[in-house]
Amino acid sequence: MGKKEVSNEILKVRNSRRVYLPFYFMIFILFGTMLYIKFSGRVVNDLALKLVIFFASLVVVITEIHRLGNSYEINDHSIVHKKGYFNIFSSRFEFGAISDSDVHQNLWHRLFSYGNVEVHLFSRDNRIDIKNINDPYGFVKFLHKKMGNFRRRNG
Amino acid sequence: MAKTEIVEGEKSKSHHFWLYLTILFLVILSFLIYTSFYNPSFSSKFTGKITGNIISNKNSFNNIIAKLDVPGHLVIDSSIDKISIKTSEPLNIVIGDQKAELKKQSSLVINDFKGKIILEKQKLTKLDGNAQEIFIDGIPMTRKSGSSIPISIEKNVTFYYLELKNTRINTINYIASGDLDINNGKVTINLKNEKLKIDSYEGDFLVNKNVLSINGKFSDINADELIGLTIVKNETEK
Repeated sequence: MGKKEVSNEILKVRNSRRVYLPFYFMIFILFGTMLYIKFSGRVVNDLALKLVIFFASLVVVITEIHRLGNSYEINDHSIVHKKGYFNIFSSRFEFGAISDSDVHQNLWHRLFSYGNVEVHLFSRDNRIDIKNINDPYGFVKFLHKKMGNFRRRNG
Repeated sequence: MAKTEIVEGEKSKSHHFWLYLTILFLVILSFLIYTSFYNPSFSSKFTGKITGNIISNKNSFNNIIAKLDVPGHLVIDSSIDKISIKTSEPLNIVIGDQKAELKKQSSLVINDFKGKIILEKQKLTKLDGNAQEIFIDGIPMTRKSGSSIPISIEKNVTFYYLELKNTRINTINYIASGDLDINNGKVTINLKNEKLKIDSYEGDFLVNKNVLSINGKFSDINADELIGLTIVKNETEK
């Protein structure tokens, strides 16, 4: 999963980098075009070269910052969603309040093995959307295991 | 309990941001293609003087004699006193409304040509314009009225000899290897796969096998990352 940590049975995930594949592909196209220009004996314009490097750096920085905006954690008794950069908004959902969960994957998600997980609460109006994580089925399996342990412990 | 769904406003802003990034990508890609394939001289217009200029004289011209490798892409759009081509494969040309087929190793001479030529290494990908006289293997083709004759090639042609007498080239810009002699030996430069840009070149242009020889004058030359720059003073200046 995108930044997956399983330590003392705690799972932490962030958005998958595969979400940004179209943007990484743009960088690939720009560098590929520059290589083609060079090997065909033409000259890459200095300003164009600087713009390509700027764009590549911008995409890498922005996508990484975007990933840092959301994180999800499954511990022994709850799911914790942290949102934000400087001001962190943290929501905790106890396992006792969770009814079930769904995995949503479109063709693109399936192709690159990532997807969205919807965790439903007993109150159907509320749900937790865990978006664009790697291996969503693995995430749901871990959640169900944790919920099973929690319910056994609490009768 | 609070929902963790992103609210609509934020979603729309986020989508706009990725859209702007995509637009930026398209703009940069277009700029890269335009400045490399269609207008290699764009940089000097946009950014002014580029670092690494060695000779620049907009008001008068400097002389140049050079032997270099052949550019991968060069556009010549001007009048040329004489074009001589020796082909290394059959060539179909259109002269006026007639088509002519030149055999392998034929010679084509065009006098007083006005039009566009695109050269890619030892291949002519375009030759389109008007000429006063055309000779195919020494046989002249002229109009009785003395008016100019439209001439063009039907497809790309490989040549082993191309000579353009007294032509004008706006910009010669490519990664070059070879030797340049500027202002009758005042400056000699040896390039090894380095960026070379010559603006407003006027003179002769000869491609013989894999060697480009130029002999003429120019207004501005730019060669970045020079290796082996030697300045030789004339005898009179010593």
